[in-house]
Amino acid sequence: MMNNNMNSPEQISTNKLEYDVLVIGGGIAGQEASLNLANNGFKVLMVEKDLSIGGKMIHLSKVFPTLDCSACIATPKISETARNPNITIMTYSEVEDIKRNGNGLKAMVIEKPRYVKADLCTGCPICEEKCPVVVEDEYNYGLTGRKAAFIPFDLASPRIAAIDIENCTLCGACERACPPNAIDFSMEKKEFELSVKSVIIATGFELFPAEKKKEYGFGQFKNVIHSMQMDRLLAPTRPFNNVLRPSDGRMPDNIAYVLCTGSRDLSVGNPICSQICCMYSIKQAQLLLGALPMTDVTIYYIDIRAFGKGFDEFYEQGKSMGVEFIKGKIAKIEEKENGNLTLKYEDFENGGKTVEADHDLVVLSVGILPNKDVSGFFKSEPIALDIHQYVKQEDELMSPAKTSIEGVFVAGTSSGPMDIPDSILSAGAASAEAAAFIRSLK
Amino acid sequence: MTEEKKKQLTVTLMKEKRTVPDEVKEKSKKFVRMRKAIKASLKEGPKSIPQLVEEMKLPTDVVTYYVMSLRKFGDIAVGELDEDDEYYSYELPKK
Repeated sequence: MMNNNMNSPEQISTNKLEYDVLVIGGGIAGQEASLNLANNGFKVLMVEKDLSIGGKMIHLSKVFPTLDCSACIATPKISETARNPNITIMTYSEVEDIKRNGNGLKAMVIEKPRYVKADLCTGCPICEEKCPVVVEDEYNYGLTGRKAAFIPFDLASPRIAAIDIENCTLCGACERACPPNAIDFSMEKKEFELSVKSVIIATGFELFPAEKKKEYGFGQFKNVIHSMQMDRLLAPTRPFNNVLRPSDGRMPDNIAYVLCTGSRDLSVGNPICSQICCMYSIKQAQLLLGALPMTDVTIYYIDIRAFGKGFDEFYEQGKSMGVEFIKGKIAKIEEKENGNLTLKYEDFENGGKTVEADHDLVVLSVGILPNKDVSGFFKSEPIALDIHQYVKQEDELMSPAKTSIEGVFVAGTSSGPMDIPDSILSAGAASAEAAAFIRSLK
Repeated sequence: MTEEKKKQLTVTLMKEKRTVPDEVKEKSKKFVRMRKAIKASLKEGPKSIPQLVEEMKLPTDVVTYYVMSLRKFGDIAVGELDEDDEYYSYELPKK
């Protein structure tokens, strides 16, 4: 869905678009790269596959190690991106088949139908209220439901409703109730032929699917959740009224974290460290001690990797607040009748003996994986990936955003695990390299 | 709604192209049933999730999911936390 009054496809008679740069992904790295380029006079098309820009950061509670409110940092940047006259945003859209086109590149952009007219929708919740279907809310990682006619989430940008056609009963209640008549089931997908001088890949990462660690019981035991679910529970826009157990709505009083779930683990095909899990777990532990002062929090770890600025102090702060750290590898989690969980672990500091501990809520600190969408963008001229399937940085030291395709640059976690400040730095590098490349064409 | 607007509903066009799967119809029925049952129970006064579970004879996680969803949609409101600091009560919103 176009979110800019400049160069909107609705205002263009042909399906041909021309911009200086295509930025794929509307998360923090995509926004940073787009703003840098736009503020230097380049025309940018940002293509986001989701219904809203904001990426994963917009859904977080706070950031480490400063404990600043994540949404308070993310929303002004989202707003700045959406309002910049040099940036055109297409949400709910996908890029296909980027290929060489003389000195530049061309691509197809497919805009999927949202079944709500962007220029008429006011973002009111009336269609949601009238919709009789509830499905799992992906923006709250299944902790609550959402309607089939829905505003994606509270801070969505653009704040425009959408119809989840796969889960719609076609009852027409939303259409009958919509005051500005914005619902339009006759909408169809649109295809655009795009010409650009450069491309920036800022597609972000995928979360490790916690159900792949079968021995931890995620998806089977209701009180085993993953860390993004906990971040949602801690956020001001949280799905529950407090941090509560999904099994019975009880306030937990003894929470465990299992670090390295899906990271540094060859058995699930991801041998590398995800770089963020230690710190976000310590962040959540500190926030939990603030939200639930009577709660005990234990973090089971292999190593604590507190390598960044202020990270070790943050770790020490967690310990001084009362977070318990146990160096041990969790072998298995079992559920008790009351929904509590027994963790069986190898206690590294006590001769490696097997120990059992009971907790009433377990958080799996899931790692990050490369976004597999990237290869699909480059069918004609495949882009090189590294051994872990992230976009390969051709010259990591001298030109960190350069990829194997001339004119295509990479930003943020598309090139490997990194935290938010490093993603922003990486996006800065990508935008500078893209700008230099475009200038070299003249 | 006027007859003219009824005729113009674009959902009729979609109905010609798509058949609604039974699973989706069932989801809709389930939500409507759950909303009715929870709201009817809360008419008697504020209740915690275990109290609703006891009454509705459904799995606790299912009741929790719908209570939290109804809270999000504004159909029910949060009441007091019990004296053991364990369970909140939920109630119908005050008008």
